[in-house]
Amino acid sequence: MRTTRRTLMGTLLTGAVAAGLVCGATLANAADALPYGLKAGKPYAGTKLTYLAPVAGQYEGHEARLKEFTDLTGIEVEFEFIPFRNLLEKILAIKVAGDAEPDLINYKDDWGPGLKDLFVPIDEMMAADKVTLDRYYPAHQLGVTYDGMIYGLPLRGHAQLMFYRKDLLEKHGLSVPKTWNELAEVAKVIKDKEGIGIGMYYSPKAAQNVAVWMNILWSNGGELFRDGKVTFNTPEAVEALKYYVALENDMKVNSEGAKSFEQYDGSLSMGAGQSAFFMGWWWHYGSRILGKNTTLTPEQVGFAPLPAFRGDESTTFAMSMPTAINVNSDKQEAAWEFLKWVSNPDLEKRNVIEKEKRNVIVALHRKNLMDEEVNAANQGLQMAAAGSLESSRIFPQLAVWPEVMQVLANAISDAVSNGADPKEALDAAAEQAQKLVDRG
Amino acid sequence: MRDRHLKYLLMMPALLLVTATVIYPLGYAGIISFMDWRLSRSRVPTDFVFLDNFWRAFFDDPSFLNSLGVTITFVAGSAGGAVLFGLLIALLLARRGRGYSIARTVLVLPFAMSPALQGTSFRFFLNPEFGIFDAVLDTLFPFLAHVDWLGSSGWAMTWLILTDMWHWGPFLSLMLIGGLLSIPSDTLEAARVDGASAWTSFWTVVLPQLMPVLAIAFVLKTIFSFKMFDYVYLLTGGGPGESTSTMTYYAFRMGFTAYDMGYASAIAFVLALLLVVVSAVYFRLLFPRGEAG
Amino acid sequence: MALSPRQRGRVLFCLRGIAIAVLLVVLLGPIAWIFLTSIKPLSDVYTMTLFFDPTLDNFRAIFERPFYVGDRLLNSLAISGFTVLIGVPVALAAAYSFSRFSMRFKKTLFFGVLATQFVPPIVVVLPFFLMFRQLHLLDTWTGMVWINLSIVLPFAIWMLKGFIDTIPVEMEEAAMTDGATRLRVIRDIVLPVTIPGVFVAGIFCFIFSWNDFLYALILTRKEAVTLPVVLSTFYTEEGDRWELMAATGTFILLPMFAISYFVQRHFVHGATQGSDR
Repeated sequence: MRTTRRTLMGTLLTGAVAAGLVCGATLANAADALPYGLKAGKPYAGTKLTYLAPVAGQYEGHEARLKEFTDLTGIEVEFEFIPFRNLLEKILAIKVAGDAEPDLINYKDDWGPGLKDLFVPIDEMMAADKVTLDRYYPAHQLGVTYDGMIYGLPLRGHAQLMFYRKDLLEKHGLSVPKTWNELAEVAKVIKDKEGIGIGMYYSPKAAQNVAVWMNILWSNGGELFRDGKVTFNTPEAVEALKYYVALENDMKVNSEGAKSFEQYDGSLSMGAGQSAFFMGWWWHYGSRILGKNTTLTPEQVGFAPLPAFRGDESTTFAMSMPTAINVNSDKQEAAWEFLKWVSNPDLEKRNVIEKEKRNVIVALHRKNLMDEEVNAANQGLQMAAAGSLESSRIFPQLAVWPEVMQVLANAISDAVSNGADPKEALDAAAEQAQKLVDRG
Repeated sequence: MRDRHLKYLLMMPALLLVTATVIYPLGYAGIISFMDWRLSRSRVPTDFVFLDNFWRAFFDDPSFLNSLGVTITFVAGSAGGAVLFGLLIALLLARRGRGYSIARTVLVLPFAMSPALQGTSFRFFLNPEFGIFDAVLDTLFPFLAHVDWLGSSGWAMTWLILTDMWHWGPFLSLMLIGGLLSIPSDTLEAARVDGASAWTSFWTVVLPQLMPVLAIAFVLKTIFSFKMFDYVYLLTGGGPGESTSTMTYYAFRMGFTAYDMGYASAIAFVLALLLVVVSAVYFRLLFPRGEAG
Repeated sequence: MALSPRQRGRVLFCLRGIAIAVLLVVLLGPIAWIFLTSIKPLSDVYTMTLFFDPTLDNFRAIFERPFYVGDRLLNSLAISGFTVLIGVPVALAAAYSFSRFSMRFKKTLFFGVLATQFVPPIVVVLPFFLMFRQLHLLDTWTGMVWINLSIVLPFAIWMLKGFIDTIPVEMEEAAMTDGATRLRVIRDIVLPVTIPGVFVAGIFCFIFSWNDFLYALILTRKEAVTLPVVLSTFYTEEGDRWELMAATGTFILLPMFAISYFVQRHFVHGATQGSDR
């Protein structure tokens, strides 16, 4: 049923959009101006660009529609896909070599401070073509801005949401938890009655445990850094970690295996019907929770902002993956043309509503997240994420952050798995982190 | 042609190939271990800092010291375990007969399996919800039903070692089967006539004859255990905590997530030095008269 | 409880049978499970069910874009094949020399060759990248064969030297007294006896270059990409596509069944010859 409806809707929408585009193109031609601020007259026709991007539906969708860009500008683009796990190694090799290729590089926002001298600041180009960051949410704007300069445009970005089993909550007459304490109570009831808990994760591997703890920490009024001083061993921070650990060890409201789970495992577990709750990036909704490999239906799964720890407002963590232009590229102008096209809101919208080939749910433009068609095609997920994105924050923008984050991830894992005292674990981590920060 | 020239001529292609490939990268890595090269600040190495990186490792970095201990635990467990496992397999399958030769066919497979595939698969197999290993073990040993296999230090290390043993044991057994089958049957016959039990003839006849091959297998496996990276990366990510963070994994972390190539190189060279020492000791012990070359 | 020798023999036979059965389950079980996964429909991949409608979808998917397992397979075969074809003879020559001749610094040299493998690849891969870039060898078969040779040669030399060491020198000496040249001796006497060793070394080299991941990842881009790198493209940001990995894995493993049958035969065959001499 779902597929038929979706396909039908998809086809209708494709038709509508295509028609719109043709009209738009005709109008544009008449006025001799191209859409999205592209330069008229194909000044870079024949240029061949290379683009390094991770393997994800988002980028495959861009590649599939590339012909439209080549028709508009005469520029050809070759996508070089690399698995996300190996993306950083590849980018570092490019940085060390100082190669002119690839011309465009997609990266993760928190790598930015360490990589930024590989990228071209695009402030002037943006100003000249009237592209602004206003179209994105603050967290995504911050993700491309280092020391006051803009280095890229976000093409993929995530908000964190709490997913829950709507059917199970209804069955037991429970309401959607708004605070961590409520979550623990509700999860306890469901675990006792249904045997499944929260698809929580504590593995230090990809440091995703840091993000969960950070959400609690922020909501508890804590900060990771204050004026260049490490402050993640303050009482608020310790309390946050104690709570995070207690969920697993004392309250026992998590699903089995949480200690060694990464975020992927949590959503997989929920998709397999083995967890009633999952907290993490929203893209898990499309491919892991309701993906082809699960038996859950959209009616069974609800989503809400992450719970708050103190008070009723939560501050959640967000991330983005911007694309930047290689500073050594000799085709920077052509690359900028591509960047303008690939980041345009229409392309993004089509990517998330045309579901025949791939189920992409990720959008970043404010107007797309609030868009009716977009939300209709995705059960209203974008609207929900928009709420939490307004107040979202990102990782600290420090070149040493990746290292500090790993230290933290290990400390958290140590506290939950090896019985380390949360206060001592954080004190030790803070000492190590302070050294790294002071070294500069 | 005279042997005098021939002996160098025969060796030349191999030596040229190895040195031509290795000298530059090795020298480069050696030099940067004495330099400050943080990729986040500079594309190229910056200052010569002499022993700072090494000083930091030994006197200012508990994580490094931890990785040293983890590496030694892993090497001892996996090298010993894999050779023992290999020996066990060899003793079972070193027989003539069609059935045995078919059974031996299986032995190359685990080694041929790409560590990437094996690591990922084993991680799934250990998943407490839909992992086949977990299901089988829970059925066989009900008291282990609630163990989160990769969620506690002890078990995570155990599985790391077991995974590595599964990969290497059968391959080592192939080497040992060759050795076992080449023990002249009259030697064993003689032992049997003397009334030795299977147990005593194993200790007095088989093992001594097998010693050279066993030694090679052990040294080989030790070197590879020191260098093992894939399974830590795929199975445990060094966790829980830092309980399975080996030196190779730590060097990787420092180089590719902390962007500190100078420090990563220093760690790698400490590891290499450790290997040189360990292998030198092995060679001394195993081949006292220097017959290993 | 006294058992007659015959009874004892029978008990031992049974025990051995059970032990072998357990061993085969331990070794083959995971492989069989991977194979099963590769033909499971997506909805059953994360279940333990043994009853499902087998499908070839996963196999179809891996040969299409963006994975192109077919092209990568060719690269892997070529790179590993050339590595073996060049590596084994070169290693054999060196191993013979190390085994039979005395020379200055031999021990140091031998140890030195082995010691080149002591540094973890993760640290030399960036210098390698820079070197290959200068030499225009990035993303080429030549470059990949070269780097694989530098990895497998030390171990191949070492293994082959071990085999040659066990062959008595008397026969060679006798032949040489009869006027045969050293090269003839190597060809006619040494080579036939070392065949099992050459086989093991060859397989060893093949598997090593076949499985190399890190170098292939950094040193190739699109032309010379090998299978393990494809395997890693199944780690998408949307999770690990385990069913596709399983399909590719099955594909990689199937030929190994054939190879391994011959490998173990040569082992036994060679060893038998050895014991007859």
